[in-house]
Amino acid sequence: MPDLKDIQNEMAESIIGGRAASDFLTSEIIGDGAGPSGGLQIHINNYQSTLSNHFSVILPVTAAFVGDVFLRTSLKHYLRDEPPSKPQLSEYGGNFSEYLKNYKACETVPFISDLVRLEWSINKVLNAPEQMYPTPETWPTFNFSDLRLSTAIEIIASDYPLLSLWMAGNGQLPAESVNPNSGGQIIAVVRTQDNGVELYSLTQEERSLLKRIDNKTVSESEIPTDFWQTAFTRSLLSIRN
Amino acid sequence: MTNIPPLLSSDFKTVPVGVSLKSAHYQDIVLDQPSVAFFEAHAENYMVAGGAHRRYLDHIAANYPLSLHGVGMSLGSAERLDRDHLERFKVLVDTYKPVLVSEHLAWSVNNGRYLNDLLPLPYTKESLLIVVDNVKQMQDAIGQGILLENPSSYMSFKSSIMQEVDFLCEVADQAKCGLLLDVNNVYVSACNLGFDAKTYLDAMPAGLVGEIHLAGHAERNIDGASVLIDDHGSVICDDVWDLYAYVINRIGVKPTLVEWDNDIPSLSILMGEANKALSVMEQALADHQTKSFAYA
Repeated sequence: MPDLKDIQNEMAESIIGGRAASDFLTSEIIGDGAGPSGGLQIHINNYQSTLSNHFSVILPVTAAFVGDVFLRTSLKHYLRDEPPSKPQLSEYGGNFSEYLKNYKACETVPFISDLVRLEWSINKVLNAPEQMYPTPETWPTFNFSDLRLSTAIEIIASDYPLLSLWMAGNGQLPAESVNPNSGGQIIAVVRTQDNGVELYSLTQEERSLLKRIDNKTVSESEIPTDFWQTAFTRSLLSIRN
Repeated sequence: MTNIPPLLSSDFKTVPVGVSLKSAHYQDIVLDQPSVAFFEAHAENYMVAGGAHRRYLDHIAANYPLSLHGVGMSLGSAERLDRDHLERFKVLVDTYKPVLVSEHLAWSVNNGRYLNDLLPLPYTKESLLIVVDNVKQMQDAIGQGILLENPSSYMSFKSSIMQEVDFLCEVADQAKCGLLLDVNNVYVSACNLGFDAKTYLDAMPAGLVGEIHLAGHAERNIDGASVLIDDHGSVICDDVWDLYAYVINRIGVKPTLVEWDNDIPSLSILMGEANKALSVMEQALADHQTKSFAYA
């Protein structure tokens, strides 16, 4: 009688690899109506379809750019090469953008990796820890050292006009108005206080200031007055616990 | 915080029918406050640090009894349970104080890889030892007894030496857990594997069943064979309603959940299915006014 571990090893290889049942599994499984391969194929389909659907939900703009077939094909390879390591679906896919950097079919659309990272960041900030945001009214009750970069923010520096590309992908800008080679952008993906998500373009100086505030390597007097308004209205900063 | 009534009332006046908690219904639940005995949440969907999911769960759990249903513990894995996942589950249990906690007789983890499915295992002595040990470990970790759910099956194993229902009962006996009887799963497995669903239900001890699940399924053609897929994406079929009435009449009123996880309909449609379950239970109560129903 085979060990449970052996059976599970063989099934996992078949499901993740999308391969037909091995001789070992075929001899062990009773597939009934659908046969051993048919029974296993249902689980292969479950693995691929549920995870692909998860990505379809969080990558709508990417799908608009590359098309459903391209996305599904790249995901099929990703699911094979980088299966989930945790049962929380919300955490799966964080390195898909890195995976696409070396994905040959993406050579003609090199900005797709950053677009995936942007959409993944939206998913990530939606589930980020709760925090207290300073407002112009409450800010005087805190010390400058209480400030930190919001825990519900992701900052992406791209070689491409990422925010413009994203807006073109979801119809907010005409596609023909965006040239992918027109220069890079720094994007802040921010969860707002009412659980929405906003995307902002940051200057290099704003990015640097945010980083220095978070690292406590800047004094209050060095902060330009107009930066506070930007930081508060855009929920870029929160109060350190 | 609102006082939450008990899920089960000893006078049978509260007929406990719940529905799946889906994010598509959050707003409707908060605004309409539907009349439902409990909501059941997939535990893994709420293992996040913050955000809207947790805020809505906070609100809903403050106003309704909550059942936590795990889908990723992998109680049938030959490898040890994931300690981090146990801890995450415990945090949810400690935070929300669910009236029911359940998981599956299935596995999904292999060598640290999570396969995102409820995979079958052979019903052998080795599997029994492993599942019993894992159920005990989970119950110890979260400080609460669990209900173990029967799976939907598309294949079985030549090395199995006992029937699934006997395996479940043995696990329940040795691990001191209860059972979650998914009537749709019994129906799907019975059709796919060719056994009699009523015989399976007859073998299920009333005292072990702490909850019943009902859901829809899909029919697919695979290599020329008709196969039922437990996709939770449609209304409950008539055959499953008949089996539900059959088992309720045999084992008595049990907390019953209507599940719907794909192609999510409006909350009113989901509530319509819950009301059907309510009618079945009320009919059973009317038919057996003098009969003492078993409560888990």
